[in-house]
Amino acid sequence: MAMAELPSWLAAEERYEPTGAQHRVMQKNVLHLASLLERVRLGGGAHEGGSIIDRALSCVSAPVRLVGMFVCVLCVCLTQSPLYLMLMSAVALVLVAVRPVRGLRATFVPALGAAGLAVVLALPALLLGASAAGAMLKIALKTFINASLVLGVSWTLTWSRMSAALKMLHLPDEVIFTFDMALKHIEVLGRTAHDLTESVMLRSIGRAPEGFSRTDSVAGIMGMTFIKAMECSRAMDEAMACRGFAGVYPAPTRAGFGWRDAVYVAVVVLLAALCAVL
Amino acid sequence: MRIGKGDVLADDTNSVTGASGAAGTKVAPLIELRDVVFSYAGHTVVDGVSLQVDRGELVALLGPNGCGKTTIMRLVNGLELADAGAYLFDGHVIDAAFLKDSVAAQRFHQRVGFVFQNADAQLFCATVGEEVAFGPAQMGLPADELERRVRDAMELFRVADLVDASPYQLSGGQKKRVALAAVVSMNPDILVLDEPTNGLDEDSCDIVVNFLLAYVAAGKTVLMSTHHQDLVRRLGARAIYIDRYHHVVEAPAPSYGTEVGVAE
Repeated sequence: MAMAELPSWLAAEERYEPTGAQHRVMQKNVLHLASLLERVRLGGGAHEGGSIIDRALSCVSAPVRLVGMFVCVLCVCLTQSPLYLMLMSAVALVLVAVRPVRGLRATFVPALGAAGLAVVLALPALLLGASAAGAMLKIALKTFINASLVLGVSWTLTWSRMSAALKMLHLPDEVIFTFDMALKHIEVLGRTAHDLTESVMLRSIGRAPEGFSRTDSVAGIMGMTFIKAMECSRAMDEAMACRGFAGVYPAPTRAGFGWRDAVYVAVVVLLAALCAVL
Repeated sequence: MRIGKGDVLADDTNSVTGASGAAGTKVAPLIELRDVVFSYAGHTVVDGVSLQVDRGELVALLGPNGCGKTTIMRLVNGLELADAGAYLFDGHVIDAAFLKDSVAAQRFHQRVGFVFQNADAQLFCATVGEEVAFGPAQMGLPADELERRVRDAMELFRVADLVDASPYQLSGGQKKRVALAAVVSMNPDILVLDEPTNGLDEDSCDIVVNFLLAYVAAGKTVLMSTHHQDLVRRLGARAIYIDRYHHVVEAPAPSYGTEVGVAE
C-alpha cells in the first residue's frame, strides 16, 4: 500500500499565533437557539424528574390538557382585569417554581424571553403617553403567562401524545400531518444547526480576513438547515408512504375520563369562571 | 489528586500555546483523560474513563453503539466538559475556565482537528474551495500560503476537481473527504476522527488510510473511533475497547478480537 505524500507544511509544526478575537456572540446565539429547538421537540421532560405537580399533570389525558390549555390561554387573552392576571401569574409562577433546574430552563427562561420580546415590540406605544405603559406591562404579563402555560404543556406531554390528542379532538388529518412533520423535524433541524454551528466554532480560530465574513457562515448554517428541512420532509413522506401511510391517521383508542381529568377540568372551569367574574 | 481550573499538571515545558518540549524532559501525553464522567439527560454515557494518547500515536476507540465513543471525541475537542474527572491536553487541564481564554481556546482548536461522524453537519460554505479555505483563512495565513494549503489539502483527498461544487451536491464519500481536507488544511497536531471510513467506498477508504499512515509517520497523532477491526489492523493502531457499560478495556490490536470476547 502506497503511503500518501504529505506537503511540507503538513509535516511541519504549525506556528500559529491566535489573535484572541472575540467573535462568538452570533454563533453562541445560533447554538442556543438550536438547543432550544431540540428541547421543544423532545418535550415531555417531566417524566424524567419533574415536580409532583408536573407528574400529576402528565397523568391527565392529553386531549383534556390541550383543551384546558386553550381555555386558559383564551381567558388570559380576553381578560382586562389586573387581579385575574395576577392570579394567573401566580399560578404560572408556582408551576414553574417547583420544577427542577432542567424544567426551569425549558419553560421559565423562554417564557421570560417571550415577555421581553413583547415589551421590545410594544416600546413604540410609549410614544402614545403614560397610559400605554400600563398596557405594555399587561401585554408582557399576558405573554409570559401564555408562554409558560404552553411550554408547561410541552414539558409534561410527549409529542406523540399531542398528535394522538389532536386526532381525538377530531382535527383534520392534514393539520395533524403538518403538525407531526413539523415536530418531528424540529429536533432534526435543531441538531443540524447545532452541529453546523459547532463546526464553524471549531474552525473560527482567529480574526476573519477580508472576504471571509462570519455572517456568511451563519447564513450558510441557515441555508444548509433549510436544505436539510426539505430533504427530511421528502424522506419522511416517502418513508411513511413505504410503510403504508395513505394520509389517514388512525384514531387512538379513547382513554377513559379518570378522576385526575375531572380534577383538572374543575380547576380550569374555576379559572374560567374567575375570568368572567373578575 | 485535586485538580484546579486551568492548572498545568505536566512537568514538561510544553504549552497549549507553544508546542514540543525540550529534549530529555519528561513529555506529558498529548491527550489524557482521568476518571472522566459525563452524563447526558440523566444518563451516564462516559463512566470513569481514563486513557492516554501520546504524540505520534494512532489510537482507535472501538465499542458497541451507544458506548460513548462519540462523547469521548467531543470531550477531547472541548465541545463537552466532563462532569467529574479531568481532561488534559498537552499537560493543560481543559475546562470551562481554559476555554474562556480566547487565545488559548483558538490555539487549542487549531491543534485539535475534529472530523464529525456526519460530514453533512460539518460543511456550511457555498463551495468546496471555500470550505477547505475557511479554517486556514481564519488563521490569517497570507494569500499564497492559503492558496497552497487549499490546493494541497484538496489534492491529498482527491477533491481538487470539486473546487467550485456546492458541498450539498456531493456524494456521502466526497463530503467526508471534503470535511477531512477542510480540517487537515489547518495543520492540527492531532486529528480526532469519528468513524472516518463510515460510508466510504474502497477507493475513498484507501485514500483516507494512506493519508493517516503518512500523517502518523510525520509525527502527528490520530484518535479515531471505528467499528471496523479490519481498519484497525490495516493502520496498526492501538485499540482501546469501550464496553457497553461505558468502561475502557485496552487491548493491543492483534489480540483485540479475543479481548472483546472477554469484555463482552
